[in-house]
This record gives sequence, C-alpha cells and structure tokens, in this order.
Amino acid sequence: MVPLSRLMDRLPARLSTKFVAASIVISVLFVSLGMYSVDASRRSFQQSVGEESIDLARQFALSVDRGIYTKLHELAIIALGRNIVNELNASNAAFDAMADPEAYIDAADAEWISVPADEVTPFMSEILANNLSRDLTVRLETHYITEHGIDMYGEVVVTNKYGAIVAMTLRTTDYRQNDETWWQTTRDQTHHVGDVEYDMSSAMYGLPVCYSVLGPEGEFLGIIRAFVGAVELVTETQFEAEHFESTEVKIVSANGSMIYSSTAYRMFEDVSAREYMAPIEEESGYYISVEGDRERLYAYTTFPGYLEYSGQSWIVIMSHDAEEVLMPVTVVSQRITGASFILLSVFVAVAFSLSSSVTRPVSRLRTAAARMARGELKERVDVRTKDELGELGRAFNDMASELEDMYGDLETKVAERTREVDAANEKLHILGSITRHDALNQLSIIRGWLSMIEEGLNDPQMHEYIAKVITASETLEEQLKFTGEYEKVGVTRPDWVDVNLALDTSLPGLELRGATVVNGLADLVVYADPMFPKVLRNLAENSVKHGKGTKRISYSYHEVPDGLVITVEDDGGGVPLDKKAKLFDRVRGESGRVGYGLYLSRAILNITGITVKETGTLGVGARFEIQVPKGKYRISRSSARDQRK
Amino acid sequence: MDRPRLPTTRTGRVFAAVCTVFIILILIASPMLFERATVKVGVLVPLTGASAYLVDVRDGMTMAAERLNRWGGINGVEIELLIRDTESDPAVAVEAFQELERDEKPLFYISTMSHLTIPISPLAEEAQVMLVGVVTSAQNLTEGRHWTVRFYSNAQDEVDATMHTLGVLGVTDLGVVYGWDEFSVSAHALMSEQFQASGGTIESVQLDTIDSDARDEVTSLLDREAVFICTTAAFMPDALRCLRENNYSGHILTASGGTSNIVRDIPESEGMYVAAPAMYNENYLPAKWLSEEYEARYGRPLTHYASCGYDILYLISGLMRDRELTRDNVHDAIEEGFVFSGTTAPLQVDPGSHDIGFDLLSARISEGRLWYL
Repeated sequence: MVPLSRLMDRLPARLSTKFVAASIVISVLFVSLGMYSVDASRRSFQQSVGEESIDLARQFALSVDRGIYTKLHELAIIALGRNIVNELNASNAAFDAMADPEAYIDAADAEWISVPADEVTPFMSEILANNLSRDLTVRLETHYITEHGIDMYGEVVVTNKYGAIVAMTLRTTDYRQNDETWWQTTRDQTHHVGDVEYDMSSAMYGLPVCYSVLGPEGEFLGIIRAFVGAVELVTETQFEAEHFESTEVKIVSANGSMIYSSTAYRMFEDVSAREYMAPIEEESGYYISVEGDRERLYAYTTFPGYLEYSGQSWIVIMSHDAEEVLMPVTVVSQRITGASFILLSVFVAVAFSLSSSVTRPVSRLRTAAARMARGELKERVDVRTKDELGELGRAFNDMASELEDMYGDLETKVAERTREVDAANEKLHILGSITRHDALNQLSIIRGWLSMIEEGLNDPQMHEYIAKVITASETLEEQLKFTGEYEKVGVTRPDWVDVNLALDTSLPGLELRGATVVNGLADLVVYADPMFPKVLRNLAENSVKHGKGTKRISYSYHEVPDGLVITVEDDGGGVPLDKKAKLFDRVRGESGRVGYGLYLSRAILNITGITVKETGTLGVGARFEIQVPKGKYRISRSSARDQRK
Repeated sequence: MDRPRLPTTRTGRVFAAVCTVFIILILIASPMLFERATVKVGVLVPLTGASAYLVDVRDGMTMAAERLNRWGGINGVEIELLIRDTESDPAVAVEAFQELERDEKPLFYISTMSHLTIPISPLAEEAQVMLVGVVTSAQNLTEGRHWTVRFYSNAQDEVDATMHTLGVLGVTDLGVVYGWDEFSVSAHALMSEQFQASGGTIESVQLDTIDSDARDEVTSLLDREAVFICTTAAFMPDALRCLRENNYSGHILTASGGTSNIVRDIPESEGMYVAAPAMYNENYLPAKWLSEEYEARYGRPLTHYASCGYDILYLISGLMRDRELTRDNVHDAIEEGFVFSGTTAPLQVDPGSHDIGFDLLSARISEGRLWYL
C-alpha cells in the first residue's frame, strides 16, 4: 500500500492545489460523517417515536377497552340494585301468571311495530315514565350529559326474563327482545358487548353493552342493555392520548371498516385499500405512509381488552405528521448542514491561507535561488516566520552569505593568479619577442653573409651547401614567426566576433590568383579568440596555395541540432586522402618546409570549444566545416528571417 | 465621481441588452415563480356592527387554519382565509360574496348569522359553491337548498333545550321577547306551538326594529312566570337589564346566544337559564385544550362561536382528505354524511342532510359559569 504522503508527492499538481484538495477532501469527509450521523439519528429517532407511538396506541386501545368495561361495570352495579330487581321480579311474576306470556308478547310486539317510529303509544309512555326508566335516565343519560357534556348512552332498555321490555329511556323499535342475538348471548354468558352498529331508536352509532340481572339465588331475572355511543366513548380517550399537534387516531374493524376517526369520516367506510392500511400485518408495528399528500408516521396495535372484557377485534391506528415528529432531527440536520457549509468554507479558507503561507516563501526562495544562479550572490530572502520554512529561509541566507564570501575570495585569488600569469606571460612575451627579434636579425645577417659567400664561390658543391644553409635559415625564420603568432593565441580573452566583418577585413593583401571569394556569413557572430579572422584568411590562403586552379572560395553557415557549422569550400581539386589524416598537424611540406597554418587555426578555434574538420572530396574541392557549439554563436533576427525565407 | 458609461463595443452592447432583458423577465416572472397554490376559503363574518361579537368565529377559524397549515393544510395545500367584514349588514354581506366570487373563486364559503347568510344563499346556489352557515339557527336556512348547509344547532334545537328547562322548572305561563330576524321569528313560532301544545300559556312581543332597545316590549311581560328572550345575543343584554331593573322575580331564559361573553359577562345574567352546547362543560375534554389555547391567545374565554369556526375548517379538511379540491367534491363530501368528533360537540350527519347540527342542553349561569341541568 502506498503511503498517503508518497501518493501526495506523486500528484502532478502545485502545492497550493494539493493543500486545497486535501482540505476539501477532509471537509467532505467531515460533512459526509455529519450527514451519515443525521441519517442514523433520523432512523434511530424514527424508531424511537414509532415504538413510543405503539405504546401510545396501546394505551389508547386500553383506555377505550377500559371505557367499555366501565359501562359494563355501571350496568352491573345497576343490575345489583334493589330497584331493578324488584321491578323485574314484579314483571316476571306478572308474566308467569299469564296463561301464554309468549302470545302476549307477540301481540304487544305486533302493535308496537305497527306504530310509526316517531309516535309513542300510551303503553310505551307508561314504560317510559315508570320509576325504573326515569332512574336509568337520571343515572346514565343525564349524568353523562351534565357531568361530562356527552350524551353517552343513546338508549337503555331493561327486559324481563321473557324478553319483554320493562323499562326504556327511549322508544325502542320493537317490544320483544329475546329474539335478538345480544339478548341470548347475555342470558347465556351474563354479559355481552357487541360490535359497532347503527341503532335506529337512538339514531346513533354505538355498541350494545348488556348485563344479566340475577336474583338472590342467582336466578335469571332479565337483562339490562345500554347502547353506548361509539364516538362519544372514544372522544374522551382520544384527547387523553393526543401526543403531537398533528396526531390523529383511527379505529378500523378487522375487515377494514372505519369505526372511528379523530378527523371527519364516514362510518363503516371501507378503508382496507387505503395506502396507509397496506403495511398492517402483525399485532402491532409502525411505518411511514402517505395520506392527504403528506408523509405520516403510523403506529398500530390491536385492542387488548380489560379484565373480564376481552376486547374487540379492532385495530387502532395512531398517526402523526412525519415533519412534526421528526422535527428535532430535522432541526439538527439543518444545523449540521449549515455547520458543514461553514466548516467547508473555513477549511478552504484555511487551506488557501496555509497554502499561501507555504508557497509564498517557497516561491521567494525559488526566485532568490534563480538570481543566485545568475551570479547575484547578494540576493537574500525576507524571513518573517519562525517555522520550518523560516529556518529554511535563514539557512538559504546563510548559504548565500557563505557562497558570496567564497566566491568573493575566489575572484580575488583568480584575479591575483591572473595578474601573476599575465606578468609571466608578459615576461615570456618580451623575452620571446626580443629573442625572436634578435634571432631574426642574426638570421638576416647570416643570410646576407651567405649571399656574399655564395657570390664569391665557384664550386657548385659549395653552392649546394650554402643553399641548404639558406633553406635551414628560412625554416628557422618561419619557425620563429610561428612562435610569434602562436604566442598571441589565448593571450587576449575571447570575445564576440562579427564573422562577416572578420572575413572582409582578413582578406586584403592576400594573393588570390584570380579566385573569387563568396561571403555568406552575414549576421553571424561567434564567441571566439580575437585571432578568429586569421583562421578564415588561412583557409582562403590554403585554397589558393594548395588548390589546383582554384576559381571560387565560398564561406557559408547553417544551423545543426547541436550548434552551427561554418563551411569553407573551394573548387581546387580537394585534399589527397593520404594527407587528410595529418592535415592539421605540424608537417613538413614537399619543399621541406614545415606547415603551421591549419595547426594554428585549430589551436585558435579550440580556445572557445570550436572544432574544424575537412570533409571535401578529392577531385572536386576542399571543404572545411567549422563546428560552433550552442551558446557560442548568435544570429541576428534579420538573418534568421532571411534563412527561413 | 465617474458617471457610468455604456458599453461602446458591439459585443458589449449586445451583452448589456441581453442582461437587461433577462433581468426584466425575472422581475416579471418572479411573482409567478414564488406564488403558491392555496385553498381559498371565503369567510363572511360581521366584525363590526351589532353582531361584531361573532369575531370569535373568525378567531377560531384562524387558529384552525394556522394549525392545519403547520402540517400541510388540506392535502398538502395551504389554507388561505379570505375574511370579509359584513358589518352586520345583509347588503354588505352580498357585496362581499360577489366580490370574492368575482376575484377569488374560493373553494367554499363560510358565513355567519341567519339574516346575513340567507341573502347570500341564492347566490351560492347560482354559483354552485358550498355555503356553510355558522351561527345560523333560522329553520328555513337550508330548506330547498342544494349548496347551502348549516353548521349550527337550529331553531328546533333551541326550542327543545328551552322546553326541557321549562319542564324542569315547571313553568306553565311564559312570556317571550323575540326579534325581527329569521332565527328569532322561526324559534318563536316553534316555541309558541310546542309550549301551547304542552298545555302552557304564552304571551309574545316582538322587537319593533333593528334599533329597538327592547325595554318597552320586555316590561309588558313582567307578570309572567318566566320570560324567554328569543333573540340574537346582541339584543339580550338590554332585555336582561330591563328585567332586572324592574325587579323581575320569575325565571329568565335565553336562546344559545346567552352563552356569549356579551351576555354572560354582565351581572344581570346571574341565575339565567340558557340553551348551551356541550363544549361549555368543563369535563368535555375535546374543548378543554382549545379553550386554554384560545384564552391564552385572545385573552377571552372560548365561546361556541369560536369552536364552531374552528370545527368547520377541521371538518371540511378531514372530509376532503385525499379528494381533489373542487367545489363539487366539497359538496359531495358533505352530502355523503359523516361523523366528526368536534370541539363543540360530537357530530353525526346523515347522508343528504344539510344540517350539521348539535344538541343544545339546558344550563344555568352562575358566577359566569354554566351548570348543566
């Protein structure tokens, strides 16, 4: 695995870019962590609220069941009362005394049913006005209206053991009740709570709550049945259970019929296909669904029952607007998002600042180093920080001071040595010059005397000897002149030489023997020994002297990848192959005299790294190529433009 | 200071022109971009004049709208109450309706007081928009109407509660003061019929005009066993004061208007009997929290006018859940019948009924509080 630092080193980017990128990566990581935390918190909070809502729904269901049980209990207390027992005993006794109580009930029932629902017969009025009926009205109906503001009981009915009505708070639909399921169930099981239904007598939705009235010996005397308003029953419980402002409660039967809703609803509406019903599978749970174009958190549970009341197979669904429920997480989320943006901005700003604090000194160091490289040894950097970069700056300044001192010392020493060498050169020059001058004078004297001797001699053999002595003296003179020329090589410092001008000024006085010189060296300047013009002249002189009928000598130049080549070529037949190898050596010619021209030329050129070679073809002409390295020549712009053309 | 210079190059001028056009387009389009769809509800309520005490209806509706809007309004669309002051004047109410119908086309209307709603009803029928009358007891408000419903107890409910009180008190000789408005007239007619049918004798006097102070009429009933003030709340205080000033010793009964603050708050209301909805019962839990919140916000006790205003918005909001918000659907939702556990009272409305009513109960005012019989 590649370390992060190495990975950063490999990135092809500027330091500032790396800083900013790194800070953005870090801040993005922070933001991502924040977002993840928010999401996790949201899920956790949702679970917490969901479970809390299940508990609330459970409490609500329990409260409803307790309410139903309370009604059952109220009837049980009434059923134990002397008033109802006495009334039922009396009624049962009267019916017992009848020859055919069932026939009586049938007849009374038929008459009862025949009367319109909004009319009351004297028989009905008698029952409505009896003591038991009035007592039930006061104890059940009036009590709830006056004390709770709720008309809880729609209708209360008491039947004797034959199923005939003995007391009632409202006119019932029929007189015989023992043909009803609730009556038979209650007789068999002592108590009964039915499912929600519409009661025509009280014109309300509710559930029948029934209790058997038993005698002292446990004998069945009759049944008291109260119709408890469903909405009224749940209303109080629902508001006790309200938790959030947007909390809503629904009660749905096992087959998906709406029984109750805290919002307006249609009783028994089939809601089983509603989206919010789909996730309901188990005994309880929570989920998020959509209702009224809003996301809501739903929690549901079944009704548990209360004591001996076993409860109904209903489902209570409690829901809250998701936005309200998740408000705390939303607020945290918004704060984290805001903080993340601030963090991101701060990170980028700090990164820029940090980057700048690093790159600016580095940039200053780089500039200073570049100036030092150009020889500006007095260059220093302004060090303001006390960190590693400050230390680096101070180290650079120290190094620069050291270098300046060393270089200054070196320059002084070089200057001293140069002066010493110059002094020695001067002495050598004077010595050589005087010696050469004197030697040449003596040679002239020797040759003068030899001429006079030669004139006085008739012996051919002596003439031959004297000729050899003269030749030897001439050779000696040439050698002395060469030392004079050679002595000048490297004495003067190299400088930029206008090659075109050098050629033009070097040729006058040279016997060209009819040859034409073509100067193609315009705009070329080379860095060379001041004796460079002598090289150009020497090459022309050789072409004329050694060429065979040389008619044309041309000078030109062209750039090559590693520099520039000055070409000097002629049409004098070229250099024999056996002489090419030693062309630039000091060699003795056919005349017996030693040639120094090309040797001297190469020495002059070598002073500044310029080389020369002969590349001509025998039978065509000689061709000398002077190779000038890069940096040692310049071509003026006008010349370069001409060349491109 | 340098004056701004216009771009001189062709490209610069074109760029400046494009920018200018772009900015102008944004300025023109911005109201459309930021305009949100709302559920508009026309609210015609007397905020001034004799029936100004019905400002409670507006306040209850405002509370409901704000609470509903906090959690998505109706089906995620915010409710916008377009409240217009009818100045207790039927002509102004008609003008307000016409103005709203012309400019705003609300989803439905809510109007208060029978005499201010009945003139609007034909207009609502013509426009085929639901008109819900709140605090409208006139028996004939919804008769033959397709687009008008009542959200209040009607005159019969008032008479039933009053008859119950008279029965408890054993009154057989009754004097009635009634107003000129539709509610008073219809309630008086029912009262006369039923009281006489129960064997009692009744003497009735009607207030002459809208400006009558009721004094002359009331003094003619001082010899009666009980006096029933069958008017809107606005006329009750004068009648009550008149009875007390004349040391009337019989029972005083009023219609449900007697529960309003302008009646309950005066000392003359002590011992008076009223027809009252269940919500004044301190043990009636649905109104309990609303009462606390309302009183904290408005600095006065919750009335059934306010709870009616509150309930009607919640009722229609619930009925329109997951329905398209159209006038026809509002009509159908109410027409189909429903059950609603309101803060005023539990409601159960049969399909096709245009009366969203609630029972009124017999109660007695003592020390400003209502005690149910």
